[in-house]
This record gives sequence, C-alpha cells and structure tokens, in this order.
Amino acid sequence: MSPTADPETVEFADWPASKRLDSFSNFSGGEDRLLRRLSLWDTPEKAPTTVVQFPPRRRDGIRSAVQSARALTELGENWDGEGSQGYSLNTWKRVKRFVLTHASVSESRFRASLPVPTVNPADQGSLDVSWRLRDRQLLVNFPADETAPITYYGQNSTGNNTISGRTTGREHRLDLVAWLIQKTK
Amino acid sequence: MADSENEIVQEWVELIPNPDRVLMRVPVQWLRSPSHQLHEGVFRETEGAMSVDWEKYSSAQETRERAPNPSQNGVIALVTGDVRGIEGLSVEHEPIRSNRAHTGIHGLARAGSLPAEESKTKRRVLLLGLVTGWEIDPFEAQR
Repeated sequence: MSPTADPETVEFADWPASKRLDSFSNFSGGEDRLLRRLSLWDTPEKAPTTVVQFPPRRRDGIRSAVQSARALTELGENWDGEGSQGYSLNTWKRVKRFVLTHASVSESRFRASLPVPTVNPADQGSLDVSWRLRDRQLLVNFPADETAPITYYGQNSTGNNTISGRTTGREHRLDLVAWLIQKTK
Repeated sequence: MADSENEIVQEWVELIPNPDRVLMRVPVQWLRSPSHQLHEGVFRETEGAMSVDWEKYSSAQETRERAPNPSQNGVIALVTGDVRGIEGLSVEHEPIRSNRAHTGIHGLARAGSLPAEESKTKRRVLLLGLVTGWEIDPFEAQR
C-alpha cells in the first residue's frame, strides 16, 4: 500500500521526519550544566538532526494511542450524561503534535524510543497524556483553550523525585523526554 | 432560589475522621476502551467540588444507585486522611436531605505551592495514586 493510500498514514503525515531542535526551558542551573556536559543542549550550529528509524512496534504503539484518541473529538457536549464538555479537534491535534514531535526528538537526540502513552478524557474539554511506567509516571494536560498553558506533573514510584511545570507545546522539551526514557535501577 | 433538596443540612454536618473512607462514583464513559483503566481524568469538579459519599452513611452499592444510570457506573474509595494529605485538598461533610453521606472534596484547582493549573495536574496524579482498586467494578462481568 502506498503511504498516501492509508488514511492513518495521511493523518500522521506531519510526523516529524527530520528537525532542528529549537530550545527547551524550565531547567534549573544544575540541570543546565549537566545537560551541557552530556551534550544534550541544543546546538544550532550543528547540522540538522537525522531521525533514526523507530522500532516498528513502539512507533506503531504511539501512533495507535494518539490516533485512537481522535474518537474523543466526536463525542460532543454532555457526552457522558453528566454535563461534561466535549473535546475539540484542535485540542487533539495539539496532543498529536506534542506526542509525535517528542517521540521523534527522543529518537534523534537520545536514540531511545519514547514509551507509549495513553490519551484520556479529562475535565473542561481538556485531554490528558499519561505515561505510567514501572518506576515513574508523567501526566501532561492539554486544556481546551489553546492559549492556556499545557501543564505536567511527574513523579517516581516513591514520590521523592518529581517534575512539574508548564509548556506552550511549541518548544521541544528534552527534559520531559529525558524523564520518560531515563534508566533507573 | 436554591433547591432545598441540594442545600446542606447543617444539623447533620459532622467532621469526617481521617481513617474513614469516602466513595466516588465513576461513569464508565470516562474510561476508555478497551483497557477501561482508571486514569487521572476521573478526578473532576462539579460546581466547585468533587462529589463523594462518606462511607459511614453509604455503601458502595448505594453510591452507585444514586447515579442516573447505575449499571453504567463503578465506585472507588479514598481514605479521607490521605486526601487531606494532598496539599490544598479538603474533605467536608455536606449532607443534603436526599443524601446524608454527601461530601465534597474541595481545592482540586486551587493554587498551592504551584500555580492553580499545575497544582490541579499534580493533585490528580496524587489522587489516582490513592486508589487501590474498584469497590464496584463496572466491567466485572466482562472480565
């Protein structure tokens, strides 16, 4: 089947193929220095990053998780009989862009696959992207109002290592990617 | 004019002890197929609070029966003291004529050590961490 013949492929036609990294924020000074030592800091003078092929199973899992959440946009208002607000296509598209971009960034900058998230309905027309891993988790909430901040909170299983903040969704957040793919004992 | 059925009956109000549990109804529509896993999105406020029932005055089954469509609802439980242990959250007994168990969890979207939006995201993660399983599993027949 040609790539354009598959509706899902068309839906994901904007999966980042190769991209320079813009910037990332919300790092403390210590993390900043650490990342510079690890050569993870954005380096605009370098050639554009080449994207490594995703392991097919993980890539398909991420695509599938995002694509299946598109059905939420068809629920409409009061979809649960409890008065809940519906979910807009625009909100889902921001989720898709965020997840796929960061999956690509994970491959290109860290040579590691992003774990597969779940996309869930939350309140006030917002969508949650949730990673619940063996030893840590991360929740990213996308509000219906695209001018409102995307917020996130993550913690490890003991709760003594946390990450929280906000993002616009327009920048690449290597810190969040690193949080998700970190290797822990 | 306020609906007297939904007004708090002040003479029934009690302090809920920390070890006591409150029960929360979860409509199955909030859980996505096919996994039907509980997720952070089930914690949401209606009219400024999350509505739950104090177990002293309601069984899980009774909480379920109060839903418009009981068979389409599951029930989970939270320990009051654990909820109060989450920064910014309070648990207040708010009995009404039709439901003496009625209780409100307040503060989900209140600003705390973080701004309101981030606090809400954090609190929802922490609340989910308090849930140990279903009191009434709405998908039991399917499992």
